[in-house]
Amino acid sequence: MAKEISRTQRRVLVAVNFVSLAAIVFMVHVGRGRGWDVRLILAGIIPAAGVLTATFIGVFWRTGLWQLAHASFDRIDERQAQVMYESLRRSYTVFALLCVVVLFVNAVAERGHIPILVAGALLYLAHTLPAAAIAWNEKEVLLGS
Amino acid sequence: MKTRKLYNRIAVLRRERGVSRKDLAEAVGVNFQTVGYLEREEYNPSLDLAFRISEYFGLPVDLVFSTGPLKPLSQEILEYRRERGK
Repeated sequence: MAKEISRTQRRVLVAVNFVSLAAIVFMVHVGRGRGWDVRLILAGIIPAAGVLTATFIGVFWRTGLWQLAHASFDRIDERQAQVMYESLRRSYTVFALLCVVVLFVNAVAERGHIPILVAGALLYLAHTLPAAAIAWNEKEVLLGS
Repeated sequence: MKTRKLYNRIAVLRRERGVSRKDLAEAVGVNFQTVGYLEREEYNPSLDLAFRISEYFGLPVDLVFSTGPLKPLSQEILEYRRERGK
């Protein structure tokens, strides 16, 4: 029988995943801006990338939530379709707010363009937010399902 | 859209017939976790799914699903027998 992963565990893993992503963006951004040594930046990024990967596997991949969030409509049942609709609705809201924040910060900082790493992080979020919304809210999520 | 809660006898019927959640899920074409949600009455099935489940058990849909709390099957049989005896 598939092992259940509790909602608290899922929420912790999702939070750690997004915090590690933010840490990578922050370290590269601040490190470059302040002229930190590349080795120092790498020493910060590599563990954060490890945590990002491990939590991604733990909460999105092994639970099948990533696959569910990217499945075509004819491969999911009616309850899963309902869950997907709700998760997409929530993630669109969060993603729109995040984009507004990024654009606002960029405008205040008077930068002409959005840094490629921030754009990459937003792309990662666009793909993981629906699965994160399910992980955050669903009552029952099984490992290996 | 706010909907009424639907009650069902899926768990009782499934156990009575020795059918696993996975087998029932495969037979009616849903994920096995959906069967769990249905049994706990945390998800209201579509009319199509309700009919598929009822057909799987070979019972009329109103014996498997109801808009009100369902009586135990033993009580239903007893009442039925009493009515027939009248």
